[in-house]
Amino acid sequence: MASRLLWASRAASYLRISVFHRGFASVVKDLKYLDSHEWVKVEGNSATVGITDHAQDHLGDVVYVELPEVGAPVSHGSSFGAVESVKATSDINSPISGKVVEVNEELNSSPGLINSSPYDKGWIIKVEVSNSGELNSLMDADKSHLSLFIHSNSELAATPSSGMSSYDIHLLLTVAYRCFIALMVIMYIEVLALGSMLVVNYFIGLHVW
Amino acid sequence: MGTVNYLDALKLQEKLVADRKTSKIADTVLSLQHPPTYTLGKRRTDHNLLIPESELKKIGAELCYTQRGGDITFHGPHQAILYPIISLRDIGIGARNYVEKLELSMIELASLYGVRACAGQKGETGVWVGERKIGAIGVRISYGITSHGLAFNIDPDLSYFKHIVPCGIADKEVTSLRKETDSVLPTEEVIQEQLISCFARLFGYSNLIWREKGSILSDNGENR
Repeated sequence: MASRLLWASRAASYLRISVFHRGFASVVKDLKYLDSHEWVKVEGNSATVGITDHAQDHLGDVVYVELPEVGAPVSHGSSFGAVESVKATSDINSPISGKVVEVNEELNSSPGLINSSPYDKGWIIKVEVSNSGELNSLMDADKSHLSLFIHSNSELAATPSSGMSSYDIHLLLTVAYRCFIALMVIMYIEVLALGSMLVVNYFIGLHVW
Repeated sequence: MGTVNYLDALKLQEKLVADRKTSKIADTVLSLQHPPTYTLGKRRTDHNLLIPESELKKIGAELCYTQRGGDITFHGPHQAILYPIISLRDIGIGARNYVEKLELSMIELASLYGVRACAGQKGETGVWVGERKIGAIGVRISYGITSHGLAFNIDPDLSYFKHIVPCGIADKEVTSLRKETDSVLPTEEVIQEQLISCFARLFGYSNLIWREKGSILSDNGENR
């Protein structure tokens, strides 16, 4: 399964195709990830933290977010707050160590932002990073994508499904579609070239006919 | 485990969660009952307690604040309580899926006695018979390890529920297995064991080790 994914996504990136994963967790590049599905975006000395699309999908509708105090310390791998959904509160762990400089107050009135916009409006805290070396121990998009895929695939396998996952099929169809279009374009140009060659021949070689 | 004070059970759960996190123990389930206790979740929805705290002693109940999800609820004798301490990451499911399975465990148990229960509509977690709630859920997940769990009403004193807005859902009644079925109910131990079996079957545990203090599940036989 994993090797099929690698082939398909390598083909996709080679052909410079961007695939929209409808109904599949999206992973954004330029973010680093903790294996408990939190992301961090670092800009200089400040880092923004939130939970991934995969995590919010698994939680269900968030009804409450417990935010830390501004100024509180956070440390890599430790919990700094919690989200509640379907009567279950889940801890959120920090991918980096530092000090909380800002919390997303919007989440107090609109906790659903975590579900609708987990990478953008649903950010949870902003941290002043104390140890930038920690970032190297975090996963980046490709690795986390792979582990997420395998992770979610095990759930897909739990429900009766055909041999290939819908992600694979989608990607291969997109690749095939693009190849087909490319072929059509080439043939069209060829026909055009041939046609114009004939026309030119006709004119310059009028005496031949 | 018999009747356990709520705070004692909380401490035991915390210890078990820490042990489970370091893989010192396998997935565990606590099966017990509580003396009359009102509990509040992380959101501290005190406003759903309709009587002042001073009154609680008079009716013989306690109040506890917890870190679990969910609103206010009541636990008391003749109510089957299950606290699974399991690692969700090891079995690869998320919070929503876990809660759904807890609901299914209770629905299956109810059907053993001919009671047709179902999960709640959107936003109303729990197990319902029509418009009446028969089972409640409140879970805490820390580092992927669950604590707290579910409460199924076998035959508790339903008058205690009048002093709260159960789970913050007004104008919905609370009911119990005794009220919903005419059949003769076996002893509560039997019903609790059946609940554990339903739970174990739904989560794919094939090996159950029963201990006097509760039951320990070993998680082989996963049907992934």
